[in-house]
Amino acid sequence: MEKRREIISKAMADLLEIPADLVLDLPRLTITGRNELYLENHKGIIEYSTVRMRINLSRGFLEVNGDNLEIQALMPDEMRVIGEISSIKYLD
Amino acid sequence: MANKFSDQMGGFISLRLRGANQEKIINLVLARGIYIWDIKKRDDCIYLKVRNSGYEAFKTIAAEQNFEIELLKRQGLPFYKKIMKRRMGLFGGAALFIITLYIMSSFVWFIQVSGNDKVDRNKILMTAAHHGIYVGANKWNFSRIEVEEAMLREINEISYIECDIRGVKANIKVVEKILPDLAVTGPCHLVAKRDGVVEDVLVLDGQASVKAGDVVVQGDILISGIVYPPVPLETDVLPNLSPSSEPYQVRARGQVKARTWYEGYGECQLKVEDILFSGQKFTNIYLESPWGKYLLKGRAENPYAIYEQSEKIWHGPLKNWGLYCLKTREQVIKTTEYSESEAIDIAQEKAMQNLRQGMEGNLKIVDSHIVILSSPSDSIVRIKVCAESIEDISLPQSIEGGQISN
Repeated sequence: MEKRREIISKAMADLLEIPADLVLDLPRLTITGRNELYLENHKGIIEYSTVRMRINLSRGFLEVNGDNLEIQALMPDEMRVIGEISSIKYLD
Repeated sequence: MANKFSDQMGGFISLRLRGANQEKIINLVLARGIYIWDIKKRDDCIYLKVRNSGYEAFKTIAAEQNFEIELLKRQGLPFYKKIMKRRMGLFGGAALFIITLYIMSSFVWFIQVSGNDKVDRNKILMTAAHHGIYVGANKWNFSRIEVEEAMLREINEISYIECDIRGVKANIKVVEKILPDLAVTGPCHLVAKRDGVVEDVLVLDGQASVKAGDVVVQGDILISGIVYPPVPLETDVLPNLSPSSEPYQVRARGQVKARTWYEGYGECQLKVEDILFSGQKFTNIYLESPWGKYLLKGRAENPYAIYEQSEKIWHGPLKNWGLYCLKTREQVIKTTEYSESEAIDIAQEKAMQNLRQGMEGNLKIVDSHIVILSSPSDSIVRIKVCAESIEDISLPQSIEGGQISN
């Protein structure tokens, strides 16, 4: 049921040329250099340490690895992470 | 993202959280819509900042989850209230200072007039005062453009005026009208403007009344504007011509060069006492009030034997109140003795300066000689310088007698 809704939403987004992050609630990542990550449409934090951070998404989660990771700002839909980021991974 | 200014205005608290499963509390806080930022993990603690408004809710969540909260710092305007209450005098004084400064700066305290040459400064100031710009006038009580227009209408000799209000100073800049010279029309004579011996006469129009070598005094007609037709010789008269013998008037034009004399006088004492400033000075500032003058700064007694004083009075908007500034400068007497030759040189220089002042423009001196008037036994040297110059001494004068300027 959920999958069908997702397929229909994607088809509608393609047809109407609406950004997928608005229709499908997909995460939007903005990375500035390797020290700043701005993430929209997150669903909370699963794990937080100075070297690894796992952030919940609508589908799966995002793993951020690095050093001295800090959450500079945290709001219900968006967050800004700073620190020396070494990798960002999408995991299911 | 949150605004740092609004954080400062609302106030925020820095906290340290200690407990297990710290991600859980972050998610719970997030779900409750409490904004937290600067989340850092150090050892087994989490450091974060929360707004003052969300602190109570945060504390409840932390207590439910058995977290230990340590309050590290309170920042922002609400937390400065206590400091402000304690320093009420300081803040009150600062506020009073700003208010006083604002009120005082809304008046015109100084007026400067520039650009006027022929128009009297007092006339400009009086007109400006009549239309609202005077010392002590409130800047909001007059319109600069209206004052400019009114002053321009009232003072006919001015073609442009600008009232520039800068802070407490009003700069009134004026441009005077350049009125055209009186038109020289109609017949006229050329008369001598000073005594002299005529050297050369050049007549362009009119009839010469003098010739080279004549001695003329001021006012003598040099070239007449009344021309008498030449009387024809009997042999020249043609039988069919009857020449008119009536004189006619012209505007006399020409140049009459004459040798003129100028005299200059100068003197010099052999022993001169000059009063000079020693460089020592002091300034007294008094407060002027209806009950008398009070010394605010300076010396009560004057230690100088010879001195010069200059005073400045500054009156505020309240009459009888003001500041009185008295500047005292010490003077010393310096005696200089000159030898006779030095005194002659100085007196001669003064005499030449005096002579030059009496001469018009840059006239060339063709001959000069010096006469020493004083005797050798005098303590003063008196010198007269006589100079000769050759210049155009003609001056237009209407035939009725009135003078016409060129």
